[in-house]
Amino acid sequence: MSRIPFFLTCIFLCAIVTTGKGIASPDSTRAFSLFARGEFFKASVEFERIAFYETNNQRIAWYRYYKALCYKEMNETNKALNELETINLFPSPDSVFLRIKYEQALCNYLTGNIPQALWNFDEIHMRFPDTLKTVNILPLQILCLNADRQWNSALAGWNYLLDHSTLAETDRSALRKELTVMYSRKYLPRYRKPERAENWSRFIPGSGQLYCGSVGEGSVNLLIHLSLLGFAGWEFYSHCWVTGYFVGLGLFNKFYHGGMHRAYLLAMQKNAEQIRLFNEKNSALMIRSLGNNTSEHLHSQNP
Amino acid sequence: MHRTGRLQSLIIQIFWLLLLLPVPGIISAQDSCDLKFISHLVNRGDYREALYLIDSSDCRHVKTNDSLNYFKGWSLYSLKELDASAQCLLKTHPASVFYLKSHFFAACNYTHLGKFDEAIRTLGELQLHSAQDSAMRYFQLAGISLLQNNLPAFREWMDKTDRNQYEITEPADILQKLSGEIQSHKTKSPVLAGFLSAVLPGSGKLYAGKKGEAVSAFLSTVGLGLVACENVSRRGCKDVQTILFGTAFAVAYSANIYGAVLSVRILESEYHENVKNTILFNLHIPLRNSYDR
Repeated sequence: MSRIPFFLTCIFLCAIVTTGKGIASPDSTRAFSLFARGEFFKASVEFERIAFYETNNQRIAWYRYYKALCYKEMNETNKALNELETINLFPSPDSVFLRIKYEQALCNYLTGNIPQALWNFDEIHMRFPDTLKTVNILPLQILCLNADRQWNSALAGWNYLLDHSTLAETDRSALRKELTVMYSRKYLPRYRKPERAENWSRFIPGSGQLYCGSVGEGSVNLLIHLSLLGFAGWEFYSHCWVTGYFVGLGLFNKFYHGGMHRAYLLAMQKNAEQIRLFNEKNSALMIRSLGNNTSEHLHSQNP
Repeated sequence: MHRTGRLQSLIIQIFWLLLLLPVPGIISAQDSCDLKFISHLVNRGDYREALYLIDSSDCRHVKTNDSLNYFKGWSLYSLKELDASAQCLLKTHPASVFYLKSHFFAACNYTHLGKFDEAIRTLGELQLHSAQDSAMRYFQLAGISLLQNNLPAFREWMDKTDRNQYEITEPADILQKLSGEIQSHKTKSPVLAGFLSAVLPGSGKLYAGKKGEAVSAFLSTVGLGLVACENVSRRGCKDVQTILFGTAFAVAYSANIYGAVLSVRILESEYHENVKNTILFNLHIPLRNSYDR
């Protein structure tokens, strides 16, 4: 009788060894602690390991989501997107769906794929018709709408966000005034058509650069063209026909076509730069007025 | 007395318990190198992660494990670290299921690196038991001979290769055709290209097969030449503009000659590079089809 506890203990230990489950199955605590410490590469390996051994689909989705977060922290946004796309969202509950779609939208925004980011937001709104449940995704959506130049939708998003914020009425009014000014025609980023810039340079060399706001570059460009024309004219006047044609007009031709192409590229560059600056102003305003409430709410949920 | 007996019995039980307690830990230490998961990572294409796990402390003590050497070698191969990959792959033993794949790909890695002697030695030391594998070995040796430009050895190995094996049939035909092209290839002379360009600007580039560049070189050199002549005749030799355009013409003319010489050298180099890549590709594909399904 006294030997029964002893034998039971031995059996218990043997059971642990033979099933191996208690030893081989990884603990998610280690993965999360690595993530919290900023060791994202090791954390991504651990998340993959626990996802590999896990049988519950919802947990697998969470672990793959955190693995994608690790890739994002390592600036491997494309890998993060690939990881998120492998997650089977069909049987997932709403909270999982929202987190994963939001992260996909964020990664698409970071990689500059704005249409895809807006599509992710549409998917969220289709699943959550009640916009009250998706207030916290509005800041990112506003930035994406700004990048797509949908000013009215972005301003409507701002107003909705303010209506459902915890700010005092006076603060809200002040912000609304600030936003009205920011989104007024005068202060919105001006869109410069690349084709128009190219055509301006076609008729008056250097004017395309002026249209894009590069006064110095446009002036230098115009000066070069006039100098080459002047040189060609002088050579023709001196009866040096070959020199005037090959050197003067030849170089003029090269600078002329190069200037047109440069004006086109400059317009695209300026458009992207202005959107970036406008979104930076928006982000600063969001952080200043709304604080970290949004990101804390999204990341407070754990599996 | 009865109480003492019970106490003794309890003590003995505790003793055995303490003795048995570390056993699971010891066994788990031997199992903590998670080969199943490493295999999953390799199949998934997460090679950096697989290498990290293999090199981590959990796996370091399992040095003679063939699977581990194979996974490490395969991960390094996929990350294009061919030399390190070959060294790992060669550690697999003949009894391992990964033996043939490992050693064939190790030889392939050495071939890609240009280490033909190591590749030939690796293929020579292979322990093969089937006609299919022997055919694959002869084919690989034939390819290496072709890379070394040793056409008699290439023909000898190709004669031994069983070309009816479907993985080898098409690549073998391609290599056979390529050997004919290598034999009939006529090397172009950079000196001749330079001479032609000196006589007629652009003709050296035409000899190198670059028609567009030939026309461009001709127009720019002749154009600047005409400009220089015009300035000499109108302004004389000592004028600043004449000296400027004369210098520009001299530079363009020299560049035209140098460009023609360089074009022929690049052409030959590109030809040899294409031949090498074609051979390597056609050596690689049968291995992937046979051993990496």
